[in-house]
Amino acid sequence: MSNFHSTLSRRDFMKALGLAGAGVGAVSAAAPVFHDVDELTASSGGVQKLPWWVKEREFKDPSVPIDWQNLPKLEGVFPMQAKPTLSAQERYAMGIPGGSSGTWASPEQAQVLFDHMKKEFPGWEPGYAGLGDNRTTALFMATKFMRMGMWPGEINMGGKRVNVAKAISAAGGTAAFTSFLGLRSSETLRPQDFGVPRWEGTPEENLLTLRQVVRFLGGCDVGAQEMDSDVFKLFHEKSGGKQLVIENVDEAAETPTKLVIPAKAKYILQWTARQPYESTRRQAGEYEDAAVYWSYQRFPFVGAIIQEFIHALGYTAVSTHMSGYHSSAVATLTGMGEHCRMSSPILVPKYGTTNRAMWVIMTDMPLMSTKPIDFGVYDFCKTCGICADSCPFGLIEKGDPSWEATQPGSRPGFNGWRTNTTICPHCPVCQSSCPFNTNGDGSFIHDLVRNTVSVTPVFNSFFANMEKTMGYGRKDPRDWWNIDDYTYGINTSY
Amino acid sequence: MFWIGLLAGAAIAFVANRLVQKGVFTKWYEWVLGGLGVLALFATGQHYFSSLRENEPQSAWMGALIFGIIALILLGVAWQLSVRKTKQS
Repeated sequence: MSNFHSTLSRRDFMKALGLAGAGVGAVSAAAPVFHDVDELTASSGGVQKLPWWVKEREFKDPSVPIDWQNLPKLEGVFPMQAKPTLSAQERYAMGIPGGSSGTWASPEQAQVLFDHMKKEFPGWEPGYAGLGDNRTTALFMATKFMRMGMWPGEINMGGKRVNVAKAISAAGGTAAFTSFLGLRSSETLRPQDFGVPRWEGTPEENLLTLRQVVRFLGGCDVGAQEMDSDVFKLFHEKSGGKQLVIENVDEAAETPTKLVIPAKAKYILQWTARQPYESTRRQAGEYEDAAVYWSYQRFPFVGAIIQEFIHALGYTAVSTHMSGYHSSAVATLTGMGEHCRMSSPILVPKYGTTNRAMWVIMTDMPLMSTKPIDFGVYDFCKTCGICADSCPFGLIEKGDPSWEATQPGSRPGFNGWRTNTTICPHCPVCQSSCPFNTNGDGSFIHDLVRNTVSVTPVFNSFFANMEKTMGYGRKDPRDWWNIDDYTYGINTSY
Repeated sequence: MFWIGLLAGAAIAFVANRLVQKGVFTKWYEWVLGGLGVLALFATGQHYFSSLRENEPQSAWMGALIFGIIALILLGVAWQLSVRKTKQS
């Protein structure tokens, strides 16, 4: 009777079901099943490979509300604390080490930081330069070579000591190899030099081309936004002391007083690069260390080469490199990330605040604009506040976002957070404390949390508390030397 | 990962088949509880080993504890429901 309606017995059916279950289990465990859906559902034409829990917004409408009418331009880069004048050896002799090249912390601030980090990592000592143990200090010293694209001072060449920066300055050069007009090397030959047409692609093809180049050179993602009078408010009045202007001219120009962007170079390319994750969250001392400075060594070079690539294609490419614009504000428009409580960095969906390059090139190569994104961070930051609690000086704002220019050198016109950069000594704490930095290639719980945060703010407070309870965030810097870290410190599988 | 998935899928299929044959789980909610228990068991393993790979030992142990307890409770309830039902009959 049981075989009357079917030739398949119950036992055979269950066997088949079991085999099918095994197959489904195997496929689901072996394949990143949402990988292709990610690219289809949450990306600007497939250019930005965003996780599936990231939503797109309308152009010029990022999650942080902006009052474009009342948003003023800034005069220049945000004000920074002056560097102390004492040498590193003098600081060591006075018992509060620090003051190595590139450091801002005053002796009083350094003492606060040392006390903070001794409490955070019992047994940790600031060492002879205020950066921790000898190996960590030595790595910082080595990696700051040619940081920010700056020519080196006195170095050994051919058995002689040569001051490169001084020699270049004497020849009329500048302190860094990066320049507004780009390198335009005499060795870079363009299609125009041969009388052949330049490569032409659709705006999407062009952006994909640049994404490929950015990744080839060590960067990560790209975004784009077309310039208009609103967006130009995010560019400063001046860069490097020169007026930054847009003019109806054929060629870009740099004069002693101004930097001229041709109106045709209306496409803003924003490219990003990641900062090594494990070493970033293992920094301790009076200043950021090798994780930051190796990025500042590599990425200005990458930026200059991207600019040279666009030039070599036959297009105009100008850049004020790290200054001249509000990088995190531009990044909210190009969909690289969301405005966050820390305010200076942008918070990126895949790796939080562990970015170092978020830089901009202006070009006449047509680029497809990418949309602002929303993955719940703006709301999450309202209840989290881990970075603000971690700041040893209380410089990161607590409480709700504001429309006012609440900090020195900041501006009104957006309902966000601002940080008092005039007394921030660039210590390594806040950047490495963000919950969104968490390794995207790890526990399933991270994707679950990020997805939930992108949908509802109801659990935000619980998630922030669990972040602390589970012991995520900053780690003892001494342990980094025992980690089998990735090439360049970056796990590129996510 | 492929082999873990294949073996896990085969093991689940085998166990489910045996449970059906022996009539251990007969109610739908026993299957749901058992399934959720197995899911929690997988979550325990995935979170533990991934967290160690993330250099997060504290999270590894705490997560294993949380998901492991959930798995034990769910599987325990499913098992007890079955045992008590067998005793009654």
